[in-house]
Amino acid sequence: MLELRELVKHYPAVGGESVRAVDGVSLEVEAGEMVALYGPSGSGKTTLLLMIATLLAPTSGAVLIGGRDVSSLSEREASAFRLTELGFIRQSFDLLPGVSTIDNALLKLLKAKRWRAAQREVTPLLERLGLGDRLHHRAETLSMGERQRVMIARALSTRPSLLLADEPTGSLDTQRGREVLELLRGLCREQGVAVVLVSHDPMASRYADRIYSLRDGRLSRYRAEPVADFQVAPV
Amino acid sequence: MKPSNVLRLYRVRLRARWAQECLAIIGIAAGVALLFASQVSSTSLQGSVDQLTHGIEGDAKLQLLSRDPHGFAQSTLARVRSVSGVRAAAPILEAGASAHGPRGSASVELIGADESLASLHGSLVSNRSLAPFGGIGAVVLPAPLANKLGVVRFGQEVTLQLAGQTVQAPLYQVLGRRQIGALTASPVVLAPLSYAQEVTGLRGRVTRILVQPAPGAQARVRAALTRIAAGHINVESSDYDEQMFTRAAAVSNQSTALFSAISALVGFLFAFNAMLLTVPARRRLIADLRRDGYTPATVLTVMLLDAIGLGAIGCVLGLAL
Repeated sequence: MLELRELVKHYPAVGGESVRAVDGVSLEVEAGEMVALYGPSGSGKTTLLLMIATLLAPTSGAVLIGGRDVSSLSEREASAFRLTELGFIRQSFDLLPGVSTIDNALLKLLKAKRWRAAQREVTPLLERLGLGDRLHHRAETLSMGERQRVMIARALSTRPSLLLADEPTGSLDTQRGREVLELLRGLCREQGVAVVLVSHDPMASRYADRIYSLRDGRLSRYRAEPVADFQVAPV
Repeated sequence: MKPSNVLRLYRVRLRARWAQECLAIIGIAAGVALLFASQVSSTSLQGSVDQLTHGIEGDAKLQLLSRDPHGFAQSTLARVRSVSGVRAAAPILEAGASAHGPRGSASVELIGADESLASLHGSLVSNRSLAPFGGIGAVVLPAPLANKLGVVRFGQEVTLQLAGQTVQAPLYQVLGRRQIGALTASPVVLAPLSYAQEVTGLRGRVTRILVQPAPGAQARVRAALTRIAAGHINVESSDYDEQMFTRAAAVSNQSTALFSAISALVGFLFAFNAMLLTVPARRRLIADLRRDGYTPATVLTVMLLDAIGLGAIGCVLGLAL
């Protein structure tokens, strides 16, 4: 489903030297598989996700989705790819303030559908995510866990084949974070969606099929450790 | 994105940030109002002078103009009319006066003319022959001035203070917008030439003679008029008063332009500060739309609608103010 081939991203830095944010990353993720990229802040996780999402051009290497190199798409093709084939879950504070749950969730559907039709289409998904009784509540009246579920609904509304999640539990407490991760894993298996989850929260590794560690832009298989050993800091 | 969805998206977002949007609209409206007001005050003065001048001179292209308020001999008119190429010539006597009535008073321009002024087709007299009241001492007033003075009925007297004397002049007629158009706003008192000469103490004198040359004869007529003037009277184009006013108002126009620029700047700063409040929300929306797969053109459309909505409402409100 997703294949990264020797992906490299350099950023220019002061003094003429460049920072290697992502340094030769290769990875394959199958449909229905959930892969977690674990690493500290500044390790290159978000840069990697932005390159997969075609929002950032790699310095070298390729991003293949279903065998197609999406890193060389035109602006219009990349937009179409993000709209139809990709779901991108950001942190929960990215919701449009003052706008209702249902209207926040349908944003991706507005390209092709009328507002009412988009509302009808996204409602079952929101109900499935436990937001059936919160459809018309404004974003700022929702709990952090509910907001994150709205983001998941928006990302899944176009039935993408690849889901990227950037710190989906970053602003959630342990209980809410666990719920969101369980939900992601369940949906991933059920709908055959490939999920790349980026986090510096060790709890995320419990729910992933494979875990990788990203440090200084280099990817390595994460050494499995008992879940009980993780020190989960309360939010 | 479908246009209806762009509008709906604008509407749902507007509900969430109406306070900031209102501030931005008020800022734009204030700027537009200041700018518009300063421009109007400038153009309305120039416009009034233009209207009055054109209303009197009509088709005249040249004029003999007195160099002092005492004018020059009316006998000059016969010499002007005898010039080859002169189609029409009309004598005028103008004098500043103060008009008083039962309801109020006003500074006015007394204009004495005879029936030949109508041949120039100026809007002030084009629909009104001066002949019927030529032999009597009576005046014609524009409606707003008549109302201000409280002199509106035929025969009612208006008091004119001019040339060191006070005279009572009966009202002959009030002219409305239907008859003289925008000239009703001009503070003029129209009187027969002979009566104007009598009340001003300038018997047999006029302050200007308007001349309409035949087509193609303007240069020849101007040369002949210069000879008649013999260095004692000015020969000018008929829009001389407008030119003089424009020159005199140049300094005022400069200050108006400066005030307009300051007004525009103040309005811009108002709007800019208010818009700054909404920048984080707009930036977040742009990022959301781009990450969710909307093209830059779609994002631009959404932002343009924001700008057009704000600009249009702000401008309409500013003009209304």
